[in-house]
Amino acid sequence: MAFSQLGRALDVEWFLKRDQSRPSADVEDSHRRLIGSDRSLSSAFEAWLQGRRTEVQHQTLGTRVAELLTGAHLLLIFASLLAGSATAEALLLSGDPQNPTNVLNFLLATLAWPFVFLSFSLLWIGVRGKVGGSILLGELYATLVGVLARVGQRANQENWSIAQEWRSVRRQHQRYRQVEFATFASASQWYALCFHLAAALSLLRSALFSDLTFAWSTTAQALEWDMLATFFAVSTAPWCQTTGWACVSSELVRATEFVRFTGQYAEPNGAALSGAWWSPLFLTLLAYGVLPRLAVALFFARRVARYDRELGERHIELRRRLVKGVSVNRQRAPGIPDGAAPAPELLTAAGDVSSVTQGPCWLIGWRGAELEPGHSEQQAAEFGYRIHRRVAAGSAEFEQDEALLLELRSSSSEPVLLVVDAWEAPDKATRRFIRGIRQSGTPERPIYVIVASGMQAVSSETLHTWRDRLALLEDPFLSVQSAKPPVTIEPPTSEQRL
Amino acid sequence: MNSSSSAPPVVPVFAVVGRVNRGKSSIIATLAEEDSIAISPLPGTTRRCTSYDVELHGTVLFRLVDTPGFEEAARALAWLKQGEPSAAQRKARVRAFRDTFSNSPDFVEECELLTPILQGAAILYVVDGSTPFRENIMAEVEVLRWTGQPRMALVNRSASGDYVSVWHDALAPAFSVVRNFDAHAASFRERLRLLSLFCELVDEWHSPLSQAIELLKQEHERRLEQSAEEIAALLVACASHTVTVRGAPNGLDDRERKAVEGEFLDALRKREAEEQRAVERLYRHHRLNAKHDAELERPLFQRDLFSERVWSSLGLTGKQLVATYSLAGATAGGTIDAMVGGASLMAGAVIGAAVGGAAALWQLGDRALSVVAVDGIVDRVNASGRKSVEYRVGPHQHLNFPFVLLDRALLHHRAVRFRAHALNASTELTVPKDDGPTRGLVASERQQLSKLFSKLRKSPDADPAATRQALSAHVLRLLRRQEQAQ
Repeated sequence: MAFSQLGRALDVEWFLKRDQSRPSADVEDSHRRLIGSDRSLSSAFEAWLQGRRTEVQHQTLGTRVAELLTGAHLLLIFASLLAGSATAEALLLSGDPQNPTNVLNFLLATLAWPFVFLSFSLLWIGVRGKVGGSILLGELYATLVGVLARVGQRANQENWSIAQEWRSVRRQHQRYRQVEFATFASASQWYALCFHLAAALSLLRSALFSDLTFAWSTTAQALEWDMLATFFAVSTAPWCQTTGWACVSSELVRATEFVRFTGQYAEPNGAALSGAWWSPLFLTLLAYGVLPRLAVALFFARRVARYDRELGERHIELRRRLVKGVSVNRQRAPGIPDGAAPAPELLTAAGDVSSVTQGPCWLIGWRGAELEPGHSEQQAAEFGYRIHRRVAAGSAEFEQDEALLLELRSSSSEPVLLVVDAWEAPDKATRRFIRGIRQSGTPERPIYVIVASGMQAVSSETLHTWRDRLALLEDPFLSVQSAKPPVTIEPPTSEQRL
Repeated sequence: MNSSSSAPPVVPVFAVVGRVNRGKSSIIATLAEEDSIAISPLPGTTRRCTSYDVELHGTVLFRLVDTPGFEEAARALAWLKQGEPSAAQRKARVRAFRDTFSNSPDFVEECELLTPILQGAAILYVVDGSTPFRENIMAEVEVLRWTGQPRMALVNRSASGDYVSVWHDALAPAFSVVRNFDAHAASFRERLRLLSLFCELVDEWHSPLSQAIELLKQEHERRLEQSAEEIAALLVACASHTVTVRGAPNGLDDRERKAVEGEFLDALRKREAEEQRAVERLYRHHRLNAKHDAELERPLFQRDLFSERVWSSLGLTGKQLVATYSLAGATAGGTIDAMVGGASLMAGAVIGAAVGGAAALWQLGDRALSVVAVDGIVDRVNASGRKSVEYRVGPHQHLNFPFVLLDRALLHHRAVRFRAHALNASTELTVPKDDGPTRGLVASERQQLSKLFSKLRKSPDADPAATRQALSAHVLRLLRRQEQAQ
């Protein structure tokens, strides 16, 4: 089930959240050791996630949530099967020769209502793409998991609260909302699918092991038998035209019209023919109940799989760490022990810093902030990019920024590295400009704000201030990082050469 | 303090403006001596304009308006430039900007900061001299220039790094005055110098501001005198402090003695703390009570009054103490020699010096002991047969005690007097050099003080007013010396 992918996405956030309380050098070192060398970004991600999970004996938030969600999911599937079967049985077996099962009632309860729900949910999914917002289903799942977690926690004696941890990780919900949404959208299809399937199987069981009588009746004068016959001819056409089985003929419709006042079918042979309804009803349930739900479920399951594959690449924080880890590992000569710093010449030679991925990016100096040419290449390579355009913004002329944002539209998915001075305040103008960058490209264009302080390291308080203020933008693809002070290359001494 | 009886006819108003986090609030806190202003390292702390009246005894001398920082100056300037107004239309254009956006979520900070300026306030534009000059700052300068109000630029130099000259060059064309001002270390003289520059900004304000400067000088002097009186009162109170207890006729046992000693020393500590708070209030520091550092990291005047370190570093040195009291003894003995017309062959002076010196030597190691003084023998004889008798504890017998107390008071005063109000309450009081000022006194001054202290110690019940007055004069002299050294 796709909950494991959601578990992986949650684990990424969970581990990154835990790393915040560790010294950054330790974090980088442990990341580097986990991902090894000579790896692509995706395999580095797999190695990193597996490594982190192994470190905690797979007792992670993601695995526990996935287990609990699977449990909850199975419970709901069981309930759906029961509901589908009970509904069908109630409709089928309540009938007798004097009061046969009304096929219209049966279809309304087992197919039409669920189909309406499907239509509404698909419509909502389409609208949701425009309006955003949280997914109600996700909240329901979160509540369910909270209840199950409390029960499970008592049994397992866990020392952390799953519900509480999940709630805290959900603050970063924007980063994994696609996986979460697709997972829940896929999972929820299975309940309706099981409802239809159970109803169809109950119908089959009753048809095989019991004598069913069907009819149709209506008070509405407008609903004539020929209209109904046309409707069924069209709806059963996919299998009727190809196999010739399970068709609804106009004779069947005409003969099985039932008048409750007289307690008789419209035609004398109505009672004999009425049993023929079961097979078209069975296939209708499968074709219009089970199949659409299965299709939607598989569609979202494929999306989940795709998001999962791209998780390491799309996650703006994790990607930077993976790129850096792989780069450093590649540069490290064999024989240099773990924990030792890589040779400075390797770190400063921009061309060698990262060959993991070298997509083009924009480098924008905000309000006169800039990095030295060599240093900026090195900084971009840390994120796995090469500088494609280098521009300045935030001057006293506001129109220049507007023009630049228009220009940025031409390369709407290229990442942007925005260099800012540490002593500047992340004021409204800065936030407005970043929002402008976001609006000038795709919603997932990575934007890195690099806080620089000349040759000095940026203080953690300053970095916190920048992160705190830019968090107001609620942009999941925005990351605030400090610029590493440039490494000065000392020419090797004669002793070192020897 | 000689306050003016008539209020200034015009109250000069200064709007302190600048980019977010450049030290506007710090400058106001220091100029207005107002330590309640929220100064936060987080940007955007000041959201609304707040007025601070600098007043003396109900007379408003001038008004400072703390404004929010510019948040979108370049965009505001772009709006102002629309339609390319002429130089004469610029002020009206700024007013139109304020009116257009005053009830809108856009340009909230800009509208707020422009309001007092459009109402006639002069502009004090604050920049941070520790950061490099960037061209984008000119958008703010231009907006302010368009208001047409008198302007002065203050280059705040509160941090390390020095780009001051670049800032001066960049701001000079747009501001009539550009001055450096470190809000965290500005002395009273620097504040007065800045005020005198304010006089030049607007002609009509010259008279009220000159008067304000004069009143502030008088207030400064009054504070010094008042501090001297507070310190003198402390010395009198502590040097003559006694505690009366009842105990068994055969004396106090160890437990009772310790309890009463503790009570006695606590009373001295409490009195000293009261004096420190009074001096802090005098200088309008109302939030200095928190002591965050560990005891050993605090300045000497904030450590425990009876700690080993305080007594070894403050007060007179052993040598000075012996010399002072030998001289005092010799003077007393010499008086007897003089009275007998020299017939004693100077024996009085010699014996007096020896007794004074020996008394000082005897007490050198005995810091807080000898504080228990029982009733006289006559009282005790009369008390025979009673169940309990009265004991008087104190005054503190150590000859160095009042000198230690005086040193701590002087150090504390120096820390408070020269402390900028921009410093947060959490920042500890500090003094540049943590040593005892009394050690630098000349011998005659030490002797005069020791005489006054001896008088208090020997006759704690005598009327202390005269002694206090004499001490106050001495302390005031020391405070003035401190002022000059600063």
